[in-house]
Amino acid sequence: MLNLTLRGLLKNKIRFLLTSLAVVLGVTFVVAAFVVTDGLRSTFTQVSSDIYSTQDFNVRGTGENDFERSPVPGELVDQITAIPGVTNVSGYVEADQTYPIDDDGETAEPFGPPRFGISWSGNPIDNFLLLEGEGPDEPDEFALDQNFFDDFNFTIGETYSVISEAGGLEEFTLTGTFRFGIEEEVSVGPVFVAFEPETAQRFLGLPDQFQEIAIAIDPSANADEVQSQIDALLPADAAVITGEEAAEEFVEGFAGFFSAFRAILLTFAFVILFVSAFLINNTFTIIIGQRIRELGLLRAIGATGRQVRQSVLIEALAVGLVSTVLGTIFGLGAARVLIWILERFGASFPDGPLPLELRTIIWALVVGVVVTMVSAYIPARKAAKVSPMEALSETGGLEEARSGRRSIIGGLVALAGIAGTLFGLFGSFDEATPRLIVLGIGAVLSFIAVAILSPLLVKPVVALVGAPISAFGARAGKLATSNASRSPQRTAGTAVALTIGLALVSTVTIIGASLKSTVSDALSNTVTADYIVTAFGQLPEGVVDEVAALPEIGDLTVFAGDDAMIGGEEIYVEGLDFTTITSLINADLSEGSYDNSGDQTVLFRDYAEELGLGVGDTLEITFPTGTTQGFTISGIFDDNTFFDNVSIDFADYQKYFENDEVGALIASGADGVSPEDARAALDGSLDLYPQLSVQDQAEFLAETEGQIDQLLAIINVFLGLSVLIALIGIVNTLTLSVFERTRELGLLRAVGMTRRQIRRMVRWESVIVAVFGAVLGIGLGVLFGWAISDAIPDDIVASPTFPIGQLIIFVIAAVIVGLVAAILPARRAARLNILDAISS
Amino acid sequence: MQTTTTMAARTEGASKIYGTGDTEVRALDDVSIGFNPSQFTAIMGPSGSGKSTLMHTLAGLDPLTTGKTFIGDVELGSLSEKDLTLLRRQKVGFIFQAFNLIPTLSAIENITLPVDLAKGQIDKAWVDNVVKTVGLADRTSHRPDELSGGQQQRVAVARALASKPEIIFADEPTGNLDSKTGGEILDFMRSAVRELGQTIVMVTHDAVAASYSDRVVFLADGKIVDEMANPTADAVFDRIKNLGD
Repeated sequence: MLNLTLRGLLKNKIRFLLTSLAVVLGVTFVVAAFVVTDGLRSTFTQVSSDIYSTQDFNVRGTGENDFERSPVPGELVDQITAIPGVTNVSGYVEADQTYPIDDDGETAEPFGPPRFGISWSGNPIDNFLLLEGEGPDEPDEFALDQNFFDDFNFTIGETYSVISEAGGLEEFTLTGTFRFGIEEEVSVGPVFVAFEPETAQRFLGLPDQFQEIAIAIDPSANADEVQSQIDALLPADAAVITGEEAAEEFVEGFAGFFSAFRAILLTFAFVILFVSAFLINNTFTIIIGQRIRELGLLRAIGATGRQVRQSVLIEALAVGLVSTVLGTIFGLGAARVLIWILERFGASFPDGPLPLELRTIIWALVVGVVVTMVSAYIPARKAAKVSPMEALSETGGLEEARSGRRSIIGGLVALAGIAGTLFGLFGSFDEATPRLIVLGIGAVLSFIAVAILSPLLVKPVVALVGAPISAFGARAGKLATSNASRSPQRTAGTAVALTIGLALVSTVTIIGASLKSTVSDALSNTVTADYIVTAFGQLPEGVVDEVAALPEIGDLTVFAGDDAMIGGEEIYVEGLDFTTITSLINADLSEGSYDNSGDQTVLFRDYAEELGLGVGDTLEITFPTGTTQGFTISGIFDDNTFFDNVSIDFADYQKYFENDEVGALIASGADGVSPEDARAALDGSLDLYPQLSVQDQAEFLAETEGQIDQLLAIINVFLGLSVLIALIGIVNTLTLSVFERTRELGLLRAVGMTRRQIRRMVRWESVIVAVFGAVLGIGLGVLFGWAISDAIPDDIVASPTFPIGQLIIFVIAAVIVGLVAAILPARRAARLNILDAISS
Repeated sequence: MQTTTTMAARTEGASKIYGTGDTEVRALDDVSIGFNPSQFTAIMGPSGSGKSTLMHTLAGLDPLTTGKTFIGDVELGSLSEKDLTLLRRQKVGFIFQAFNLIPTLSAIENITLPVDLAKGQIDKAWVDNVVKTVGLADRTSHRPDELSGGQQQRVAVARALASKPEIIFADEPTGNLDSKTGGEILDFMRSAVRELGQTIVMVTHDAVAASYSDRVVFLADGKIVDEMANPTADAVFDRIKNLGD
């Protein structure tokens, strides 16, 4: 029996290959997901242990990450140096958003790698290596990361403007270039702008303070003793850790990124495998249908049903194993491609070998073999039920499940799927993960229901889709239409991959379109300001005053925000200028007013109701400084498109947060000033701050939409891979159908069908199957998109928008998929030898 | 001897060799034969005598190794694959032993298939007449799987007739039918020749089937060994018994 199965496999190499291809793609994705993230992690581990190998101890503020850690006093450096056994001490400061402006007036684009201003001690313990020129020793000097230097137009010895968040704009002379990593270059993403330490402390806003102190000790010294002596010097909010611990922390800082990245890749891998499972199931079903007489013969000469079932499962096992091996090899290649692509998008990854861990191989096997076997199980069971009599019957063929039973099972699965999806969307969850899992299960069940129910739709939908093709494609078109509906289960099974792929793509597209139209509506309905000034981060100091001082600029208001505590919960509190806000934004309150008399707040209605508060009541806010202040609720608003739950006047914001930083400002031109003049004045005034973006409403909208489009494009490229699987599935089914219809094709050729007409017939059938899948998929996508848009809070997506043009493009894409899928099967059908075909 | 212009189909020194060297099989060996219009010819011979090969080469389904075949005045050897196909749908009809019909098409769609493929005008009166004569008038919208074996073959005969071809080739058209149903089909084929003026060449190894024809040609080892006009079943049967001699 085993021998027979294996011989059968070898005899049908194409069928074997096509079935494998789908699994191979799925395994490829799984392997790539693991390998890329493992590789990145191990390289980062290596890099960080290299970086921290020069340090025995590291002193820095306590807290989970750099943002939470307060700096340590500068005098610690001298105090630690004095401890016996300590051989080398170096203090270090850094700050994001530090931009030098080159000869062409250019600097970093807002979405480029972060620009860190750092202190240059010249001490190798800091791991910076001078490459050209000299280090910055004087207060008016700076040095540049070699990568930065190469990408922009700088000359050593010349003077340039440099901007920092804390220090504003200053002139420095470029003394040289350097890199991160002494032994070998370490590229971790950010690029650096270095200053002499005291200058760095001042310019980066940390006078006489350090964020980290690196310490090396004499190898013969008692490390524990030294550590406790250092610890004794430290303030309560600082700690001393070993170099190894610092290295681990460095890696852990990226752990969240790695696991999120892996989760995304694995999600796409899951989609591909899910789609592949349908393809494998369909292929095995067709093959068993075609082999029914062979199987009947086997049963007639004494094979048990169990043996027949096993022979099918062994075939699936072989497909699964071969696919896993190929998928693993391709996965390693795909991992390289993925890294290459990510690097093109500006990410920076260290070079290093890609590790294939045992866990990855096990997952590949589980995914490749188990998915194939599970997909083949139902066909295998059907095969086992073939009776010996069927070997003798003239017509043969597997009986398709009766439509009554199909409707009931499909209906039940659909109900479960819809319930899961709705519960996932509208149910209350504490966290995002369980919600996504429930939603995922709901979606998977919905798709399975579609797979079960869609054969019932084949006849009516194909009749509809086929009508113009029958009219236009003459006899070949009519034959194609009837071929597509002769085995509803086969057509539906083939199309379901495309249905799922396009359902996902159209869901994403609809949500994206809804998101864009919400932003656009909100902007045009609410914002009356002409200009929006934003930075990647906070606006540099002085910008607000500079803009306000421009005679061409009229009204101006600012936005700020930070976390504070209300009722024991962390809440984002916004600082708005209550005096000017209404002149630039139609942020009308439904109750009360913006009261700028101090210690007043306005709340979003839902939040106010949650707290059980109304206008006139008092809300207590505890600020990060420790102050708790009662605020009188002066107003309530209903539309939270622009504002969060809690807003206070900017004057109070500055007072209680002890922070002048502003996230964005919006402004309008002064009365009687032309938009051109106002814009020119604004641009001229902000020319010195290249990291700022000055936009009018149209530009702001275009940029926001562009960002949404870019994200959609990336998601859809990955989801598009499932469309590729669908294409393979159509090729597979058509090839098998052509083989099955050999005699029929021979007859058609004998009675005068030309090769061209045969090709056309196969092509049209393929197009009909593809369009059937697309119509179903887009229909589902519209439902999903509508439900999800409805579930997303109104301030993000107000109402679903259906981009008809794009959905039509998807149908056209499906037609193209159908045409491409038909190329080889059509050629095969046209080349059949008539004599062989009719005498077979 | 008739003049060549009146022949529906003919061969001149037709030879067909399969394989080379030791495995060489001479399926047709210098066969020259013509078929008159409005005549029902049966080709008989034992398995491997070359009767099917003769029919396939005459119909342009299989090229000759040497020699020529003609449908009407057209020499098939000079035609491209496409021209052969066009010639088949315009001038040749086929009836096979089984699997004559496209399962997805109704009876009437199967009958008009060659005309449809040629995007030609259907001669409605002629088709109606054919359908009525084969007794399928009330079954035209049925699918093949809703028809009996005999009805399916009648549809096949009607299909072969629908385009008014110059010649119809039938390959064991009654091989899968019981003798009564087979007799009905053969009756109908004969009346198609006698009453509708069609030309039919039928390959068979059944003496009774051959007795419906006007002329029987006997083949053995790729050569024509005998002919018989206005045959009876018994005469044909006797002749076959002695064919090996």
